[in-house]
Amino acid sequence: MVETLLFYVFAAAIVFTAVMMVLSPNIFHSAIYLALCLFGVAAIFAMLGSFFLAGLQVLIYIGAVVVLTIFVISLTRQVSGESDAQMGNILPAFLTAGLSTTLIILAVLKTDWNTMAGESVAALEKTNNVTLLGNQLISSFVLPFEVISVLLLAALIGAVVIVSKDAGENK
Amino acid sequence: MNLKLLSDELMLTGIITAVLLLDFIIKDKKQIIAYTFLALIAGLTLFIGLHRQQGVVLNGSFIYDGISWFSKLIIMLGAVLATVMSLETIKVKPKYTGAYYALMGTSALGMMFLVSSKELVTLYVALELATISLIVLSAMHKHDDLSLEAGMKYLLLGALSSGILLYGLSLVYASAKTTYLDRIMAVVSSGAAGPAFILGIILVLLGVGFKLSMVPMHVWTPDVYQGAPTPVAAYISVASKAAGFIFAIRLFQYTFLKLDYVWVPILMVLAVLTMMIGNLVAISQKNLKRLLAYSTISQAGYILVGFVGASVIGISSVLFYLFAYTLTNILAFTVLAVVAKNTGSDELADYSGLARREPFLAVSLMLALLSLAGIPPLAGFVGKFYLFYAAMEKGYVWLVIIAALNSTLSLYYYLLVLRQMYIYDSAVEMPKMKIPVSLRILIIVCIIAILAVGIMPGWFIDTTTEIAQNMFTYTK
Amino acid sequence: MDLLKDILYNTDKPWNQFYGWAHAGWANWGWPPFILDIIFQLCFAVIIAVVLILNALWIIYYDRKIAALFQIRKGPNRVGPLGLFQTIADTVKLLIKEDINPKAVDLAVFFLAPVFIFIPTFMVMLVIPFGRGLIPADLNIGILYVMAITGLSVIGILMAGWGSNSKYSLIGGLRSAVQLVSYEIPMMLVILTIVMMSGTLSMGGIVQAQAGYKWFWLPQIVGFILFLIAGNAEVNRAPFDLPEAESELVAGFNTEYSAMKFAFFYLAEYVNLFITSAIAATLFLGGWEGPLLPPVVWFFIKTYFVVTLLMWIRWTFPRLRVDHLMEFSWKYLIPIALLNMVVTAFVIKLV
Repeated sequence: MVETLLFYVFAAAIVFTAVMMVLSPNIFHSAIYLALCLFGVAAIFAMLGSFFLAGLQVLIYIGAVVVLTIFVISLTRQVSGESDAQMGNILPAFLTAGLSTTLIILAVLKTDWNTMAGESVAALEKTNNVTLLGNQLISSFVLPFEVISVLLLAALIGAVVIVSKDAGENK
Repeated sequence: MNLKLLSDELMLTGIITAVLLLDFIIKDKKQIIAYTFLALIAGLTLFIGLHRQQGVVLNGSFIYDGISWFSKLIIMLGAVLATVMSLETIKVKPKYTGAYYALMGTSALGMMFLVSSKELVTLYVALELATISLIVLSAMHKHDDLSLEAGMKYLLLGALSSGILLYGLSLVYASAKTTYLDRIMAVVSSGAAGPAFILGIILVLLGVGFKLSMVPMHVWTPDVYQGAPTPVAAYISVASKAAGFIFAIRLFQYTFLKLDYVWVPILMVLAVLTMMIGNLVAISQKNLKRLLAYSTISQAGYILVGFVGASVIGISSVLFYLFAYTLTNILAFTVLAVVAKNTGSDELADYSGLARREPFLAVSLMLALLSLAGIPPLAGFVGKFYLFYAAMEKGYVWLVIIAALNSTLSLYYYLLVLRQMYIYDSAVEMPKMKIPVSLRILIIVCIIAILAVGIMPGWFIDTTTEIAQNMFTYTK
Repeated sequence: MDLLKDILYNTDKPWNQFYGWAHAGWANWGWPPFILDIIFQLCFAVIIAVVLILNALWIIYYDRKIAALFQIRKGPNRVGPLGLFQTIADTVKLLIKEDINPKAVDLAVFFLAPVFIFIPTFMVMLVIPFGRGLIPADLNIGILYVMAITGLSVIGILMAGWGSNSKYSLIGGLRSAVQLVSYEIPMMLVILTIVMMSGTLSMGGIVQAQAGYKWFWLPQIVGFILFLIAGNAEVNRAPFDLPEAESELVAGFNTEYSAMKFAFFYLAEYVNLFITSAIAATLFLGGWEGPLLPPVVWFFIKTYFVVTLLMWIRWTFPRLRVDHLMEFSWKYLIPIALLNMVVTAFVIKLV
């Protein structure tokens, strides 16, 4: 009972912050809303018994992605001044978002999730899912795990190449 | 675990590491890195070509079958040809030479993993590896605002499409409760695919469409091709597209095959739109690189026509066309790169009188464009014919008629280019163009290959058919 | 007497008894049991808050006394015996001062920033093992939780810097964010090494892994030093106090703040100092383990040992330049931390 209630509280918070993030005319406020929204997602993860994912969600998405975003905003925007909102295209945006959301909700509701095979949440909660995740990463998912290291290397090289300042260049 | 199956990928990883180390050691004469990289990947291509393997490792998440062999060859061929093209034409600062070739390698590595993995997480990670490397490569001409714009657009739209793809994949995973394609196929066969699964498939289709530059995910193509360094544009147009099509084949022609009543109608409509939009917009282009970009969009449409066709012949025709298309597009882009190196422009107006000034280049470009348009006896003709045949086999006559009409339409703007080169004269007298030896060899090799494939397609078609059958028989 | 001994030394035993007894009594009332749990949680929260604030008051006084010691002067000595009530007097002064909101600030952001900074520091206390069984919530992701939650305060600092609409605040906030993000990496690498050695992420588990006086500071001496350096940078204290470098930035990101809101920043800084020291004590010095004295006492002795070390560093080293600061982290700390991790991995595997 309490869990259901909490779930709806968090879900409502996520939806509210997500909508506010899109609608807020101030881009800095949008970033803060984004942080709150991601925090709500982390809370949902925690409620599902996946504390590790919740921790990673906060660590990576809020601690790194949003911080980077806010950092860039701080470097490029004025506190007071013109609004960043592009309200000109709001109608098509609303239509697209509304239509796709309705479609997704309909599809998810029409699906009979219970009949499908799979492990239940209760069974997962009993295991130590950090250990489980670690073992999976180096057994079943070892290939993507290794490919990601190359991916990070490529991203690192790319970032260095694009950002580094060349001598005698005023950029 | 049989690591021998991963030997190609491991060797490519070794090559990338070697390039980075060389970059660290060699302080000047950075061209050495380029030639070393070229020699190594050419060797690897030869190795892959001669050393075909068969098998699965890692619980069936990685497969080496005919289709991955063939597509690895196309990808490496694209990488080798693009590297040859890069040697003389890229304008990247010497200190970034190592990074340029290393990123070329990582993107090829990503595509190689993409074509041989049979598990959703690996597929996604490999796709990202390829895309991120290509994004950086297209922004490599840092002094050029167009190049930076290309990188930016590629990044933003790539992120959007990969978000869509990921959402689709997560719906598929949520329904099937597994990320392995074989097991997903079992779920599909058991008829347990609910509406969420179908929605997932549609989203995946759109996400993959980005790589194929399929309408409505095509908008990045012209800007990226125009801004990116020409070899990178050529590489994106051949290797990245080939990898995308193999990805699509693995997902749709294999895993979701039983659900073809969902994706075939969508793909048919999108194929028509892709051909129409590509061809119609191409007509009004004044920049040759943008024109080729729209032309590749329409080519994707033709390939989709074959894609929806009968399974074995369809896959076989797609593979064959990808091979022919790789050679043709590389040839066209090479001529563009040579001209741009001399005149510094890709505008159509600057190609006036090219036939008189540089008959060699003009003839090469003409052959490439005619092959793209599908004129016999060039490779493009056989490829297109085969694609349409595959669709006919399934009974989609109307689709083939539209495709044939589009093919005729495309001839119009290809001929516009020819008119500019052959009939118009340039207003100002131009100095003789310098064609580097490496590019001259590249052009000649491509022309010979196009003619060979066009005149004697039998052996190639036999190979691709065998490979396509192999995918269905060798599923374990 | 036995009960008292149990409470001091094996806190979990009497606590479990009390918990079971309370629940049995509660069941007679016929209310759902989770309400009792919520009441307990609230009690914990209040206790933690009180301990936190009292401790912060004391630590501020301690810092000033240590500073005085290093500068050969007396330090606070007027209010109360030995000047012990000085901080309380200062706090009261801050609380009753006029709360000034400059005109050009972004009010919502300006108001929320102290909250965003203070709440994470409070939340981190949840997983710190103060004694045997004296841990508010022994999450199985303990140390990851600590890293995740402390990372949140960066947003608060950036909010303070940006919302104030002042160049000093902005530069201070940006510097602080850069510093926090850069020094988080070596810190995490060191923590990862500790996790490898103990085989668990839970804070209680890490203390258990060091039981029998096999404290990690000796085998991980490199890691310990790295942790102290990075931890010092994480709390923005000299020689890494560029975010609030008085001589160049007035007071950094909290330039525009006054009264109550400033008190929050001030308090948060010292609470962070305590938390970093407490984590160092848990990870490297065996947590609450020690002979004779009760575990809680040992925990505070060790924590204050680290606090004193950090204060010693603060009052002896000059401030770094901003580019040197970045270089120090990226070119020295991170490679050393990585090397440390690789060597540790090999040693664990081979031994």
